[in-house]
Amino acid sequence: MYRYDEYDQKILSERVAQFRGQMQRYLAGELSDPDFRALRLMNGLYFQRFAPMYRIAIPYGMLSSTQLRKLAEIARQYDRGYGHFTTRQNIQFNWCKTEDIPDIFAELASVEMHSVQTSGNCIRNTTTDQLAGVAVDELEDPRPYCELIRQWSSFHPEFAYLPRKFKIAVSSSKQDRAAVQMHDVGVYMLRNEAGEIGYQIWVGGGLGRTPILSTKIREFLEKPHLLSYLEAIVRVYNRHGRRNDTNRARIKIMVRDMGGEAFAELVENEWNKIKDSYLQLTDDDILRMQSHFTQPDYDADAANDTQFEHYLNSDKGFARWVQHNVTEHKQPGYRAVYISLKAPGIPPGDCTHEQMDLIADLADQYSLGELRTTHDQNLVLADVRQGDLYALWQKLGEQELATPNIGTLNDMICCPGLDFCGLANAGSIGIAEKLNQRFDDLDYLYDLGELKLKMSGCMNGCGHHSVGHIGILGVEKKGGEWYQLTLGGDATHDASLGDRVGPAIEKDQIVDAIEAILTVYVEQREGDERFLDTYRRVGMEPFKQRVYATKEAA
Amino acid sequence: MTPAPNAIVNRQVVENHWQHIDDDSALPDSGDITVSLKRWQEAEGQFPDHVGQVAVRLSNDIDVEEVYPGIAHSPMILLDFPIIDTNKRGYHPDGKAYSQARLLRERCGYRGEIRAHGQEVISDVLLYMERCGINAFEMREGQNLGKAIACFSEFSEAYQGAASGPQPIFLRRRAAT
Repeated sequence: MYRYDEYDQKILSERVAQFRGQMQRYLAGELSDPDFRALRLMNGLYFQRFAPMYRIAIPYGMLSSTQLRKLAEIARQYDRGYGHFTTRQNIQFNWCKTEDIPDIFAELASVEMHSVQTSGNCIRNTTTDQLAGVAVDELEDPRPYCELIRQWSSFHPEFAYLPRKFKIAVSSSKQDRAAVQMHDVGVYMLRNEAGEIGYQIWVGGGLGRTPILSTKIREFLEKPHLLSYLEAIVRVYNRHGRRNDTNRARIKIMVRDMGGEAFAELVENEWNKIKDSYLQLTDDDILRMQSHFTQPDYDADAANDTQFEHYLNSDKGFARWVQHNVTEHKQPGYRAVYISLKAPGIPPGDCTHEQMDLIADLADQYSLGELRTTHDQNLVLADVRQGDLYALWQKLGEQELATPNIGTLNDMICCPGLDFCGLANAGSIGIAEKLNQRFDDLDYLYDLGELKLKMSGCMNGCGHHSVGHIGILGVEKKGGEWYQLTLGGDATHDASLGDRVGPAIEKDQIVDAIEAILTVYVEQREGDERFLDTYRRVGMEPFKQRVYATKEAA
Repeated sequence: MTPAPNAIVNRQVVENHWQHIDDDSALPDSGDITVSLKRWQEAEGQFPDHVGQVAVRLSNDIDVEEVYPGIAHSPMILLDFPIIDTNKRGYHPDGKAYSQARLLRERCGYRGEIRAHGQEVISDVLLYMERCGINAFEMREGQNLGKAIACFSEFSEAYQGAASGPQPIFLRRRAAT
């Protein structure tokens, strides 16, 4: 993975010192609340419902075991012993003390981590495929490009006060595992007719209260122009984006209102003026960055192992875990392993310091000392020899990290909701727990197959409900917590936004409503059809009827 | 508009000699003044009777490339950095003029003083503004100017090229290989 050089380290330590100074001035009353607000957000610090929330960047989801141990240490020393992995591949701490934040920041900097630009109206952490570099359907490792974007966007002097937050995602595989079309800018790496690899550029996607899928604005962009094109897009947005209404300030509204073609024209005009500037990447720039992401020294004998086959046939629990939580790898004899952070009774994405320490040790022992975070709020050990899978499974199980539920209904994604967040209208963690209790039969879950349930506690949509096969959105109604259901959302290449089922449903009826939806699916599906495909085929009506019929009967 | 008593120019605290004249007010006979783009354009940038300098003031929605030929001879260009009221927060630093500054310096080639003015001009943003090509600052009232000067030295490195600042890191890495 990318390692800092002296420049990266210097600039980060200067940032730590700057923020320490700002915090001192704030605590001494020399910096006003609103002035400090803009500055602290750009350093990942939110003031929340009960305590501050501190969001730490995990650039495109890559973590070393050393970094994860540091996060465990921070959880122990400064928080209540756990952290929360987010839908943007980052991690949040919910119980830190405000005055401790500069010290935590310095701790992070000691392991090449930071919290810079994890909030605020600036360019946020770039995200990508959690299987980058090991995926069988990958064209080229997207991480060198993500790191180029990270450096270009970090401390960018022109783009610190944009109309609104700005998120970029990159995908380089056949299957989009990075929800590219839900981002302000989405980059698909692809090959053109001449056989060259370049980028397809999409702009104006986003969730939140007005979910919109992005629009393709350029079919193919040659490799050297990645940064100049991004700079052109963000400059057009900075100059022309709306600022007087927070709810209409994202680039998605601008693109929707003016149309993709008109927007693309503005970008192309700007880009033509800067494409030959120093922003143009040279072959060496790209090679230098790729040298940080070289293929590891894989064990050539890995595929000769016979233990894996033996345990698959002799241990049903292991076989079940392999079927759901282990995925193929481009290197023969290797697999990528999903560590489920969705054990029953645990808020999705939460991870204790003991678990982090264990995972760090396992990463060292079995996966070349690295791991990845996913936008589904799980972790991945990407380079595990098949012969090590059985031992790894047993050790993960000791800390409830081997729940074989990846891709099932219980692998739901979920924001912190009313329990923590100052913006939420309704709880989400409690609903997740109730769903877990109701649908605790693994065989039933497996029978349901791939099912993406996504839940947000408010319109801001941190839980990506709009692109859930089943989406649950918390709303406030009559002073209580109510929930709006959507069906048919999807975050992959074939992206779509969910359709609203009908009026919001009361808290104590939401689990029944989900069950009604699942029952209709089971009745209606043909063969191995996924929930999403059944919905797309039969439409809303049967689901709607059953959901509200149940309600009336109750 | 009441001018601040002091300003920072080229990282030095200096007495502010500029006055910003509203469109509703008559131009004074003398002194260094700024006028709106509208007034500037009406006079075609010529103020032969005025004793002292006259410079143009741009609101942050102006397309600087489009108007530049008419303002290139202005001895100074004043840019606006307001904090605007949004429906939700009531406090939103508006960063449009960061782009204006870079375009003036890097694309139009303006060599005169670019001066930042407005509620957003506080110590903590000076370095980014400077890197975008701004070299003079009328600080919001209540800022400690001595401490503000120190803020220019908070970062010694930069990832990006811009109008000014250290040579970007990637160019040095490029040169090293």
